[in-house]
Amino acid sequence: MTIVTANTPEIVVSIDVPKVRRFSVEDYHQLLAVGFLQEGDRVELIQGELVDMAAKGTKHIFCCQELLAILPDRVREQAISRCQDPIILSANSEPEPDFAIVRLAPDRYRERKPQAEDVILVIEVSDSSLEYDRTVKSSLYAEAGIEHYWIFNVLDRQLEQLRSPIQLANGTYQYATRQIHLAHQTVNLPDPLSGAIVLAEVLA
Amino acid sequence: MTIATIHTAEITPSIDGPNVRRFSVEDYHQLLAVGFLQEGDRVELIQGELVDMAAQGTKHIFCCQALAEQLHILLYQKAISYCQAPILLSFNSEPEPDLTVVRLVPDRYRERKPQAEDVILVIEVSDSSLEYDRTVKSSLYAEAGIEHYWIFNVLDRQLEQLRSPIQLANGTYQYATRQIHLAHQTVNLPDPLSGAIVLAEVLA
Repeated sequence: MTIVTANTPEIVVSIDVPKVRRFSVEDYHQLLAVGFLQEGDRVELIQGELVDMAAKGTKHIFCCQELLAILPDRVREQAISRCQDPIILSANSEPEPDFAIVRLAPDRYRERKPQAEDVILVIEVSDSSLEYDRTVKSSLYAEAGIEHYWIFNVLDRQLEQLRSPIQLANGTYQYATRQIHLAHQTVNLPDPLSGAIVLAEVLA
Repeated sequence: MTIATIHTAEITPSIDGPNVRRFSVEDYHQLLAVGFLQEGDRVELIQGELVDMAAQGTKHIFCCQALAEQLHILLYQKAISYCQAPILLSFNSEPEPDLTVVRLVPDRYRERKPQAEDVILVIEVSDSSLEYDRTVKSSLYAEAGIEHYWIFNVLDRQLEQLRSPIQLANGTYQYATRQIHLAHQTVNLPDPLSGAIVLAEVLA
Protein backbone atom coordinates (compact mmCIF):
# COMPACT_ATOMS: atom_id res chain seq x y z
CA MET A 1 0.00 0.00 0.00
CA THR A 2 1.30 3.39 -0.91
CA ILE A 3 0.44 6.60 0.76
CA VAL A 4 -0.03 9.38 -1.71
CA THR A 5 1.18 12.72 -0.48
CA ALA A 6 -0.41 15.77 -1.98
CA ASN A 7 1.78 18.81 -2.20
CA THR A 8 0.02 22.13 -2.10
CA PRO A 9 1.99 25.36 -2.08
CA GLU A 10 -0.26 27.00 0.56
CA ILE A 11 0.53 24.48 3.28
CA VAL A 12 3.38 25.58 5.51
CA VAL A 13 4.88 22.94 7.78
CA SER A 14 4.83 24.07 11.35
CA ILE A 15 5.74 22.21 14.53
CA ASP A 16 3.30 23.48 17.11
CA VAL A 17 0.24 24.67 15.16
CA PRO A 18 -2.04 22.70 12.85
CA LYS A 19 -2.14 23.84 9.24
CA VAL A 20 -4.86 26.32 8.45
CA ARG A 21 -6.33 26.39 4.97
CA ARG A 22 -6.20 29.88 3.49
CA PHE A 23 -8.71 30.86 0.83
CA SER A 24 -8.16 33.15 -2.13
CA VAL A 25 -10.78 35.68 -3.25
CA GLU A 26 -11.45 33.24 -6.12
CA ASP A 27 -12.05 30.31 -3.70
CA TYR A 28 -14.31 32.58 -1.67
CA HIS A 29 -16.48 33.45 -4.67
CA GLN A 30 -16.65 29.74 -5.54
CA LEU A 31 -17.90 28.93 -2.03
CA LEU A 32 -20.66 31.47 -2.66
CA ALA A 33 -21.40 30.15 -6.18
CA VAL A 34 -21.81 26.55 -5.03
CA GLY A 35 -24.05 27.67 -2.19
CA PHE A 36 -21.68 26.69 0.63
CA LEU A 37 -21.82 30.33 1.70
CA GLN A 38 -25.01 32.35 1.22
CA GLU A 39 -25.15 36.01 0.18
CA GLY A 40 -26.68 36.90 3.52
CA ASP A 41 -24.05 35.12 5.64
CA ARG A 42 -22.27 37.51 7.98
CA VAL A 43 -18.77 36.47 7.00
CA GLU A 44 -15.83 38.26 5.36
CA LEU A 45 -12.54 37.11 3.87
CA ILE A 46 -9.58 38.50 5.81
CA GLN A 47 -6.07 37.42 4.82
CA GLY A 48 -7.37 34.10 3.55
CA GLU A 49 -9.56 33.32 6.53
CA LEU A 50 -13.34 33.26 6.66
CA VAL A 51 -14.06 35.52 9.60
CA ASP A 52 -17.48 35.67 11.22
CA MET A 53 -18.66 39.21 11.73
CA ALA A 54 -19.58 39.96 15.32
CA ALA A 55 -23.24 40.39 16.26
CA LYS A 56 -24.00 44.09 16.52
CA GLY A 57 -24.93 45.70 19.80
CA THR A 58 -27.53 48.47 20.10
CA LYS A 59 -24.94 51.27 20.02
CA HIS A 60 -23.31 49.77 16.95
CA ILE A 61 -26.64 49.60 15.15
CA PHE A 62 -27.52 53.15 16.15
CA CYS A 63 -24.16 54.51 14.98
CA CYS A 64 -24.46 52.72 11.61
CA GLN A 65 -28.01 53.94 11.20
CA GLU A 66 -27.09 57.57 11.87
CA LEU A 67 -23.99 57.43 9.65
CA LEU A 68 -26.15 55.95 6.93
CA ALA A 69 -28.59 58.83 7.35
CA ILE A 70 -25.77 61.38 7.02
CA LEU A 71 -22.96 60.06 4.78
CA PRO A 72 -24.61 59.50 1.38
CA ASP A 73 -25.92 63.05 1.47
CA ARG A 74 -22.62 64.58 2.70
CA VAL A 75 -20.58 62.98 -0.08
CA ARG A 76 -23.22 63.34 -2.82
CA GLU A 77 -21.72 64.28 -6.20
CA GLN A 78 -18.22 63.92 -4.67
CA ALA A 79 -18.11 60.19 -3.97
CA ILE A 80 -20.25 57.13 -3.28
CA SER A 81 -20.94 55.83 0.21
CA ARG A 82 -21.36 52.05 0.45
CA CYS A 83 -22.62 50.33 3.57
CA GLN A 84 -21.41 46.80 4.54
CA ASP A 85 -20.52 45.95 0.98
CA PRO A 86 -17.36 44.08 -0.06
CA ILE A 87 -14.18 45.72 -1.30
CA ILE A 88 -11.35 43.69 -2.86
CA LEU A 89 -8.00 44.45 -1.24
CA SER A 90 -5.65 41.67 -2.29
CA ALA A 91 -5.55 38.10 -3.60
CA ASN A 92 -6.95 36.86 -0.29
CA SER A 93 -8.81 39.72 1.41
CA GLU A 94 -12.34 40.88 0.66
CA PRO A 95 -13.61 42.62 3.78
CA GLU A 96 -17.02 44.25 4.20
CA PRO A 97 -16.35 47.43 6.17
CA ASP A 98 -19.30 49.16 7.81
CA PHE A 99 -18.76 52.01 5.33
CA ALA A 100 -16.50 52.56 2.35
CA ILE A 101 -16.47 55.99 0.72
CA VAL A 102 -15.27 55.38 -2.82
CA ARG A 103 -14.40 57.66 -5.72
CA LEU A 104 -17.05 58.50 -8.26
CA ALA A 105 -16.37 56.24 -11.24
CA PRO A 106 -18.17 56.57 -14.61
CA ASP A 107 -19.61 53.03 -14.26
CA ARG A 108 -20.54 53.62 -10.60
CA TYR A 109 -19.13 50.10 -9.88
CA ARG A 110 -21.96 48.50 -11.84
CA GLU A 111 -20.03 45.33 -12.67
CA ARG A 112 -17.06 45.26 -10.33
CA LYS A 113 -16.22 45.68 -6.68
CA PRO A 114 -14.21 48.69 -5.53
CA GLN A 115 -10.52 48.04 -4.93
CA ALA A 116 -8.09 49.78 -2.59
CA GLU A 117 -7.26 52.58 -5.06
CA ASP A 118 -10.96 53.45 -5.34
CA VAL A 119 -11.33 53.95 -1.58
CA ILE A 120 -11.06 57.43 -0.04
CA LEU A 121 -12.12 56.45 3.47
CA VAL A 122 -12.97 53.18 5.16
CA ILE A 123 -15.03 53.12 8.37
CA GLU A 124 -15.59 50.43 11.00
CA VAL A 125 -18.09 50.88 13.81
CA SER A 126 -16.67 48.93 16.75
CA ASP A 127 -18.02 47.46 19.94
CA SER A 128 -17.00 43.83 20.59
CA SER A 129 -14.70 43.84 17.54
CA LEU A 130 -12.66 46.83 18.78
CA GLU A 131 -9.35 45.00 19.30
CA TYR A 132 -9.66 43.18 15.97
CA ASP A 133 -10.48 46.45 14.19
CA ARG A 134 -7.51 48.21 15.84
CA THR A 135 -5.00 45.48 14.97
CA VAL A 136 -5.83 43.05 12.13
CA LYS A 137 -8.14 45.39 10.18
CA SER A 138 -5.82 48.34 10.69
CA SER A 139 -2.80 46.54 9.24
CA LEU A 140 -4.98 45.12 6.45
CA TYR A 141 -6.19 48.56 5.33
CA ALA A 142 -2.72 50.08 5.81
CA GLU A 143 -1.07 47.37 3.70
CA ALA A 144 -3.64 47.97 0.94
CA GLY A 145 -2.57 51.64 0.99
CA ILE A 146 -5.94 53.08 2.02
CA GLU A 147 -5.09 56.60 3.21
CA HIS A 148 -7.89 57.11 5.76
CA TYR A 149 -9.35 54.59 8.22
CA TRP A 150 -11.80 55.71 10.90
CA ILE A 151 -12.91 53.59 13.85
CA PHE A 152 -16.12 54.75 15.51
CA ASN A 153 -15.47 53.27 18.97
CA VAL A 154 -18.99 53.20 20.41
CA LEU A 155 -17.82 51.61 23.69
CA ASP A 156 -15.66 54.60 24.66
CA ARG A 157 -17.68 57.13 22.64
CA GLN A 158 -14.77 58.33 20.55
CA LEU A 159 -13.62 58.42 16.97
CA GLU A 160 -10.15 57.00 16.29
CA GLN A 161 -8.90 58.54 13.05
CA LEU A 162 -6.00 56.77 11.36
CA ARG A 163 -4.10 58.10 8.38
CA SER A 164 -0.87 57.77 6.36
CA PRO A 165 -0.17 54.05 6.01
CA ILE A 166 3.49 53.03 6.43
CA GLN A 167 5.56 49.88 6.58
CA LEU A 168 7.38 49.55 9.91
CA ALA A 169 10.97 48.35 10.29
CA ASN A 170 9.67 44.88 11.30
CA GLY A 171 7.89 44.61 7.94
CA THR A 172 4.31 45.01 9.21
CA TYR A 173 1.99 47.81 8.10
CA GLN A 174 0.39 50.43 10.30
CA TYR A 175 -0.98 53.95 10.16
CA ALA A 176 1.62 56.60 11.05
CA THR A 177 -0.92 58.97 12.63
CA ARG A 178 -3.72 58.23 15.05
CA GLN A 179 -5.95 60.97 16.38
CA ILE A 180 -8.68 60.55 18.98
CA HIS A 181 -11.77 62.77 18.85
CA LEU A 182 -14.23 62.86 21.74
CA ALA A 183 -18.01 62.83 21.37
CA HIS A 184 -18.39 66.62 21.70
CA GLN A 185 -16.19 67.27 18.67
CA THR A 186 -16.91 67.78 14.98
CA VAL A 187 -14.66 66.24 12.34
CA ASN A 188 -14.14 67.10 8.69
CA LEU A 189 -14.26 64.43 6.03
CA PRO A 190 -10.84 63.91 4.39
CA ASP A 191 -9.76 65.50 1.11
CA PRO A 192 -11.11 65.70 -1.56
CA LEU A 193 -14.42 65.44 0.31
CA SER A 194 -16.00 68.42 2.04
CA GLY A 195 -18.49 68.35 4.83
CA ALA A 196 -18.28 67.46 8.50
CA ILE A 197 -19.72 65.01 11.02
CA VAL A 198 -20.96 66.10 14.45
CA LEU A 199 -19.86 63.14 16.56
CA ALA A 200 -22.56 63.64 19.19
CA GLU A 201 -25.12 62.81 16.51
CA VAL A 202 -23.70 59.37 15.78
CA LEU A 203 -22.07 58.22 19.07
CA ALA A 204 -25.09 57.29 21.19
CA MET B 1 -1.22 40.35 73.34
CA THR B 2 -2.61 42.91 71.01
CA ILE B 3 -1.99 43.22 67.36
CA ALA B 4 -1.73 46.80 66.28
CA THR B 5 -3.36 47.58 62.99
CA ILE B 6 -1.94 50.33 60.87
CA HIS B 7 -4.61 52.33 59.12
CA THR B 8 -3.58 54.29 56.12
CA ALA B 9 -6.00 56.30 54.07
CA GLU B 10 -4.58 54.99 50.80
CA ILE B 11 -5.67 51.39 51.35
CA THR B 12 -8.62 50.51 49.16
CA PRO B 13 -10.49 47.28 49.90
CA SER B 14 -10.47 44.98 46.94
CA ILE B 15 -12.42 41.76 46.40
CA ASP B 16 -10.03 39.84 44.24
CA GLY B 17 -6.63 40.58 45.69
CA PRO B 18 -4.70 41.72 48.74
CA ASN B 19 -4.44 45.43 49.43
CA VAL B 20 -1.36 47.04 48.02
CA ARG B 21 0.34 49.73 50.07
CA ARG B 22 0.62 52.94 48.06
CA PHE B 23 3.29 55.48 48.95
CA SER B 24 3.07 59.23 48.75
CA VAL B 25 5.96 61.35 47.49
CA GLU B 26 6.52 62.27 51.15
CA ASP B 27 6.78 58.58 52.17
CA TYR B 28 9.13 58.03 49.26
CA HIS B 29 11.48 60.81 50.35
CA GLN B 30 11.39 59.41 53.91
CA LEU B 31 12.44 55.98 52.61
CA LEU B 32 15.41 57.72 51.01
CA ALA B 33 16.18 59.79 54.13
CA VAL B 34 16.25 56.77 56.45
CA GLY B 35 18.46 54.89 54.00
CA PHE B 36 15.88 52.23 53.10
CA LEU B 37 16.29 53.41 49.53
CA GLN B 38 19.65 54.69 48.28
CA GLU B 39 20.11 57.62 45.88
CA GLY B 40 21.62 55.25 43.31
CA ASP B 41 18.75 52.70 43.44
CA ARG B 42 17.09 52.29 40.06
CA VAL B 43 13.55 52.78 41.31
CA GLU B 44 10.86 55.38 40.62
CA LEU B 45 7.52 56.25 42.26
CA ILE B 46 4.62 55.68 39.86
CA GLN B 47 1.07 56.18 41.16
CA GLY B 48 2.12 55.23 44.69
CA GLU B 49 4.12 52.16 43.71
CA LEU B 50 7.87 51.70 43.88
CA VAL B 51 8.67 50.49 40.39
CA ASP B 52 12.02 48.95 39.51
CA MET B 53 13.48 50.45 36.37
CA ALA B 54 14.37 47.85 33.77
CA ALA B 55 18.01 47.10 33.08
CA GLN B 56 19.14 49.01 29.99
CA GLY B 57 20.12 47.15 26.84
CA THR B 58 22.92 48.30 24.53
CA LYS B 59 20.55 50.05 22.08
CA HIS B 60 18.86 51.80 24.99
CA ILE B 61 22.15 53.10 26.35
CA PHE B 62 23.30 54.24 22.90
CA CYS B 63 20.03 56.07 22.21
CA CYS B 64 20.05 57.85 25.61
CA GLN B 65 23.61 58.97 25.24
CA ALA B 66 23.17 60.17 21.64
CA LEU B 67 19.97 62.04 22.52
CA ALA B 68 21.49 63.66 25.59
CA GLU B 69 24.36 64.92 23.46
CA GLN B 70 22.11 66.33 20.71
CA LEU B 71 19.66 67.93 23.13
CA HIS B 72 22.48 69.51 25.08
CA ILE B 73 23.68 71.29 21.92
CA LEU B 74 20.21 72.14 20.51
CA LEU B 75 18.86 73.54 23.76
CA TYR B 76 21.84 75.59 24.90
CA GLN B 77 20.50 78.74 26.62
CA LYS B 78 16.92 77.94 25.47
CA ALA B 79 15.86 75.19 27.87
CA ILE B 80 17.39 72.65 30.26
CA SER B 81 17.60 68.95 29.56
CA TYR B 82 17.84 66.37 32.33
CA CYS B 83 18.93 62.80 32.01
CA GLN B 84 17.21 60.27 34.32
CA ALA B 85 16.38 62.88 36.95
CA PRO B 86 13.14 62.96 39.00
CA ILE B 87 10.17 65.19 38.19
CA LEU B 88 7.27 65.71 40.59
CA LEU B 89 3.95 64.98 38.90
CA SER B 90 1.45 64.46 41.71
CA PHE B 91 1.27 63.61 45.40
CA ASN B 92 2.18 60.00 44.58
CA SER B 93 4.18 60.07 41.35
CA GLU B 94 7.82 61.03 40.99
CA PRO B 95 9.08 59.31 37.83
CA GLU B 96 12.59 59.58 36.40
CA PRO B 97 12.15 59.80 32.62
CA ASP B 98 15.15 59.02 30.44
CA LEU B 99 15.21 62.64 29.31
CA THR B 100 13.21 65.68 30.34
CA VAL B 101 13.29 69.08 28.67
CA VAL B 102 12.20 71.82 31.07
CA ARG B 103 11.73 75.57 30.79
CA LEU B 104 14.59 77.88 31.67
CA VAL B 105 13.78 79.49 35.01
CA PRO B 106 15.87 82.05 36.93
CA ASP B 107 16.82 79.63 39.73
CA ARG B 108 17.59 76.79 37.27
CA TYR B 109 15.82 74.37 39.69
CA ARG B 110 18.56 74.85 42.28
CA GLU B 111 16.37 73.92 45.25
CA ARG B 112 13.33 72.19 43.84
CA LYS B 113 12.41 69.46 41.38
CA PRO B 114 10.68 70.36 38.12
CA GLN B 115 6.90 69.85 38.11
CA ALA B 116 4.53 69.09 35.23
CA GLU B 117 4.07 72.77 34.30
CA ASP B 118 7.85 73.19 33.90
CA VAL B 119 8.09 70.35 31.40
CA ILE B 120 8.10 71.02 27.64
CA LEU B 121 8.87 67.47 26.54
CA VAL B 122 9.33 64.16 28.30
CA ILE B 123 11.19 61.28 26.62
CA GLU B 124 11.39 57.57 27.38
CA VAL B 125 13.79 55.32 25.54
CA SER B 126 12.09 51.91 25.42
CA ASP B 127 13.22 48.37 24.91
CA SER B 128 11.88 45.87 27.46
CA SER B 129 9.69 48.59 29.07
CA LEU B 130 7.85 49.40 25.81
CA GLU B 131 4.38 48.23 26.88
CA TYR B 132 4.66 49.95 30.27
CA ASP B 133 5.84 53.17 28.62
CA ARG B 134 2.96 53.05 26.10
CA THR B 135 0.26 52.46 28.73
CA VAL B 136 1.01 53.37 32.36
CA LYS B 137 3.61 56.08 31.66
CA SER B 138 1.52 57.52 28.84
CA SER B 139 -1.56 57.96 30.99
CA LEU B 140 0.61 59.29 33.85
CA TYR B 141 2.16 62.03 31.71
CA ALA B 142 -1.19 62.79 30.02
CA GLU B 143 -2.98 63.15 33.36
CA ALA B 144 -0.25 65.54 34.56
CA GLY B 145 -0.98 67.65 31.47
CA ILE B 146 2.44 67.31 29.83
CA GLU B 147 1.85 68.37 26.21
CA HIS B 148 4.56 66.31 24.48
CA TYR B 149 5.68 62.75 25.24
CA TRP B 150 8.08 60.94 22.91
CA ILE B 151 8.86 57.23 23.04
CA PHE B 152 12.08 56.24 21.29
CA ASN B 153 11.18 52.62 20.53
CA VAL B 154 14.63 51.11 19.95
CA LEU B 155 13.21 47.62 19.34
CA ASP B 156 11.28 48.66 16.23
CA ARG B 157 13.59 51.58 15.37
CA GLN B 158 10.86 54.21 15.43
CA LEU B 159 9.85 57.32 17.34
CA GLU B 160 6.30 57.37 18.72
CA GLN B 161 5.34 61.00 19.22
CA LEU B 162 2.38 61.67 21.51
CA ARG B 163 0.75 65.04 22.00
CA SER B 164 -2.40 66.81 23.27
CA PRO B 165 -3.40 65.06 26.51
CA ILE B 166 -7.15 64.47 26.94
CA GLN B 167 -9.50 62.75 29.37
CA LEU B 168 -11.46 59.98 27.66
CA ALA B 169 -15.15 59.28 28.28
CA ASN B 170 -14.20 56.41 30.62
CA GLY B 171 -12.29 58.86 32.84
CA THR B 172 -8.76 57.75 31.95
CA TYR B 173 -6.17 60.02 30.37
CA GLN B 174 -4.45 59.55 27.06
CA TYR B 175 -2.80 61.51 24.28
CA ALA B 176 -5.19 62.50 21.47
CA THR B 177 -2.53 62.28 18.75
CA ARG B 178 0.08 59.63 18.13
CA GLN B 179 2.48 59.87 15.23
CA ILE B 180 5.04 57.25 14.22
CA HIS B 181 8.31 58.34 12.60
CA LEU B 182 10.65 55.82 11.01
CA ALA B 183 14.42 55.79 11.41
CA HIS B 184 15.11 57.62 8.12
CA GLN B 185 13.10 60.67 9.19
CA THR B 186 14.01 63.93 10.90
CA VAL B 187 11.76 65.45 13.57
CA ASN B 188 11.46 68.98 14.86
CA LEU B 189 11.51 69.72 18.57
CA PRO B 190 8.13 71.03 19.79
CA ASP B 191 7.35 74.75 20.31
CA PRO B 192 8.83 76.92 21.71
CA LEU B 193 12.01 74.97 21.01
CA SER B 194 13.75 74.98 17.66
CA GLY B 195 16.09 72.50 16.07
CA ALA B 196 15.65 68.98 14.76
CA ILE B 197 16.77 65.46 15.55
CA VAL B 198 17.96 63.11 12.82
CA LEU B 199 16.50 59.79 13.96
CA ALA B 200 19.14 57.67 12.21
CA GLU B 201 21.72 59.22 14.53
CA VAL B 202 20.00 58.08 17.73
CA LEU B 203 18.19 54.84 16.75
CA ALA B 204 21.10 52.38 16.49
